[in-house]
Amino acid sequence: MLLTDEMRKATFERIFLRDDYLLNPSEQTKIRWNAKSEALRILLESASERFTGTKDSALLQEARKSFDATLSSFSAILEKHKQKEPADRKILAIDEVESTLVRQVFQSAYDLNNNIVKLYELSSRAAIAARNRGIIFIILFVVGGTFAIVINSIFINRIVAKRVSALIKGVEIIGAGNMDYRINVAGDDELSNLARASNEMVEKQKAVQEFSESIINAVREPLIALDQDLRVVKVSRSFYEFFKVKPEETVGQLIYDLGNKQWDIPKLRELLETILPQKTTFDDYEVEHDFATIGKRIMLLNARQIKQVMGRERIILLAIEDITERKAIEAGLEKTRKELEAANKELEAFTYSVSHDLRAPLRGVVGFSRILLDEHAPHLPPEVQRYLSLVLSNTLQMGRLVDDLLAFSHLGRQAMIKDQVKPAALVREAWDLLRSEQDGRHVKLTIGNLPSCQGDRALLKQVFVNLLSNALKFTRKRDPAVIEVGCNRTDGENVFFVRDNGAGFDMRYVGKLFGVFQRLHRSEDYDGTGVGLAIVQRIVHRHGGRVWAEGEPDKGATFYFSLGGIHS
Amino acid sequence: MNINTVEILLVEDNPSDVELTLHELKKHNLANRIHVVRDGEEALDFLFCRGAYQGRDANIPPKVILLDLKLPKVDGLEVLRQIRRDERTRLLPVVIMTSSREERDVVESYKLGINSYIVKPVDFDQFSEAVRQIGCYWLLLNQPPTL
Repeated sequence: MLLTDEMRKATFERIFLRDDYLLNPSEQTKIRWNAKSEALRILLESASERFTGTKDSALLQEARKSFDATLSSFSAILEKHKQKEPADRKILAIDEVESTLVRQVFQSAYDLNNNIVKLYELSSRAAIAARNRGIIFIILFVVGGTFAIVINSIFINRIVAKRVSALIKGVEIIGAGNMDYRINVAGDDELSNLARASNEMVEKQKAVQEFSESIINAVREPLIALDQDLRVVKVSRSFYEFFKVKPEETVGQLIYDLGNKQWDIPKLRELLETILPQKTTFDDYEVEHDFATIGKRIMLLNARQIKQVMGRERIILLAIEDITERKAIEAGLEKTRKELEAANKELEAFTYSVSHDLRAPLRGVVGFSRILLDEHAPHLPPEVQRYLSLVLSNTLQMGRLVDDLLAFSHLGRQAMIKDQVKPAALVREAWDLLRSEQDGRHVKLTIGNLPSCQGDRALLKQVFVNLLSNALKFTRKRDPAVIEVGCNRTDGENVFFVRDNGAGFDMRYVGKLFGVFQRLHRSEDYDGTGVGLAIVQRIVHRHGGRVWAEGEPDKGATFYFSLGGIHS
Repeated sequence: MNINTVEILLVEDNPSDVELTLHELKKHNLANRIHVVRDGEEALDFLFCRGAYQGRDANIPPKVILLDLKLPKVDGLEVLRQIRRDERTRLLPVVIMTSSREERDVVESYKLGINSYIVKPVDFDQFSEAVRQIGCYWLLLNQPPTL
């Protein structure tokens, strides 16, 4: 009787100590609980010696089991508390286990209590005393149970609060940019689902971030991302390579402080502090600066201001293009252009002078020779007259050379006006211009199907005039002279040709054909200055095309030309 | 020749061209009405009755001025500019006779208000034909403005 009473007391005392510890885990409470537990164990042992009846033994057996369960559960809690590290990520796991253990402690303790009470009832055979004690016990039990439930609910609330705060903390850590952090998930309740969804979201966010980071690292142009305080958040690999800086002396630094304050550039300050606050986008901002590490550079900056990324209030993205070399090339080009312009001016002055001054004396020679021949012939011996005629014809030839040379030099300087041109019409116009060369001759001209093309109308007409004039000249001894103008399409290119059945030429000299003043025939046989084909070549080349010829002595010649990529 | 009866003012520095021109005009009895000046400055002196031409009557202008472009001292275009700028001479018919067939010379001359542009041919037959036509046209056919 006394033993069971003691056991009952010890059990209740231990329950209070347990709740005490769970509410406020202190070393003292833990020691007291352990002592009470040990006392209860001794009581249970002596009880098993005392109560040997079948019913009693069974009850004791149950009590013993509950005791062991309580002991092990509570020891587990104590163990967890001992292990508890300050690291946040473990909190939730411990709380999960702890809440399970606490539930087990409650359950076991309740069972033990129950069994001991039953044993107590059995042991008191004295009915009245037993009933009285029973009532007291029931009251105590109800009070104890209610107390346990209250404690339990307080405890559960505390755990939920801790888990929610851990969840918030996790989200905060991730939000600050630590994409590797994961909220610990155990269990299957709403909070766990929320944590799981958050983790999935972070996973996706991390993929996006990795994608954008790989873009940053892949671009050839140096890229730099700054936060709202103009501190470096991230830079591309190319940035390190280009500006010869190390990551550890870059990230987190104020941009102006980078590389021993090399970046403290007034124009950059203007962009970052004056322009960008008003405009979120700015392109082709030119900055010239002399860097200690890489020398004088001219850079074009493209700036973008982005709100709320990478856990920052504001990010400024600067893409840097080094245009130093381009500028140098441009300056070189400009210099060459000026030189060329000067050379062209000189050439123009030269041809102008030729045009004026070379022709005037020729006119004198021709004029006075003519006057002598026309008005003084009766006083001149026939030989003098013949010489004067030779002076005349030579001077006239020189006049033609000067004129042709001027025309040729004009071609290079004349602006081209490209247009859609119908070659067949040009051929007919050219043929009409050469009417005088056809007089008294039997000439057959055939014009094939000539596709329209892109080119300068006047210049292309000149090409046909020269080629047809050539054909007419070298067919002078043919009756009939046959001239054909046509077009073949070869390798996707329209190739025009002018063919004649005239004197032709030896293919060994084909290389001389298009040179200025180059002639393949004696002037007694065929007159000319040797500029016509040079002009043809120059016009064709200016159109981006090619010109070539095929011929055989006495069997005629064919002149081909294409207009390069610009024909349609 | 009386300086006040000049009908053609020839502004030409090349003596051969002067002689060939006069030779042709003589054939058509037009030579006695021509006066030759050898540079731009002399041309302006003649037209504005200055220097050697102080005594000339400005109220009797030539019927036509044959003007070369390339001239010593003051070039042809500048002479033309001054002719067109002055109230007394701005309506005078001016014919450019030059060796230059440069496009910019042609355009610039027309911009300054010339009445004709002739490129002197190297071939004498063509040259004399040109001189003959110019002489006949401007002296006989054309009606000059009354200044």
